[in-house]
Amino acid sequence: MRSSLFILGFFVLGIFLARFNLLPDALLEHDPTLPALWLLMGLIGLLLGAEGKLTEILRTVRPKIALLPIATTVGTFAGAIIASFFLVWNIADCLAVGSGFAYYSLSSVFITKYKGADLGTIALISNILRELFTLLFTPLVVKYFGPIAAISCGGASTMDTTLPIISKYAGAAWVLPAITHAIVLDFSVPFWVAIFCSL
Amino acid sequence: MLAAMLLGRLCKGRLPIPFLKAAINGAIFLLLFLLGVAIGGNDNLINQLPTLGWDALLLTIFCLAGSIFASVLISRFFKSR
Repeated sequence: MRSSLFILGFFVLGIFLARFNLLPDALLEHDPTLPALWLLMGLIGLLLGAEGKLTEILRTVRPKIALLPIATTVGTFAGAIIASFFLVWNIADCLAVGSGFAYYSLSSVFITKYKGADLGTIALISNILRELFTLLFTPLVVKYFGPIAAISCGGASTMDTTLPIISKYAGAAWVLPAITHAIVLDFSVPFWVAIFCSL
Repeated sequence: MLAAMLLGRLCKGRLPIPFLKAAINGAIFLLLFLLGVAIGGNDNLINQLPTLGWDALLLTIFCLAGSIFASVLISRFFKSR
């Protein structure tokens, strides 16, 4: 939990520094998140290789891993449908936002294009929040609901941004299921978003 | 990432693992900091945050609750591990 608060602190610091123009403009013009992500992926790769956990990970590949993305999809859609009863947006709108599965860049661009900027912004915020929740609360989710719940919360982000946190708290054995889960969801995002936007 | 895994495998035993773990933590902090910068630097997003933010938050909570519920249901199949 302490490291989660630490991470949140860095996030809030970033917002405030950018808000009050305390950063060099170059940082905003050239989005540096992607290189930072590569750095992170490279370091995780190095660690996995150096610890010799590759064989352990590969041994855990089982067909039932396919249950993970199915559970995430069904659970997310059920949640989005229930949420639509409390919001001005209809069921298809809510499902479109939910089917971003934390893949905020793609889903918000899609939804902005087909449903307008308001729902697009909701999609952006909602899916960023999903990723943020996973980054911050994975230790707690693993503790109370288990590693699968943490992977499910991460949606399509469990092969990049939230992978380190999942590998740290759920254990290295869950790295490959997390990646498989994210790849399946990743491919399904444009498909679902397009379907729900055309309803 | 695969290339890095291979490199790590080849250098096995010669890489300082505690250092790698610390570097990963640092990289996570950096990434979140940069995500904050991207959001804070987007005026549109900050201005609309109060109105659209609540809808988004409610949707996210329900989607996450649904995901957690569904994953708890399937986790029985993984217990044998």
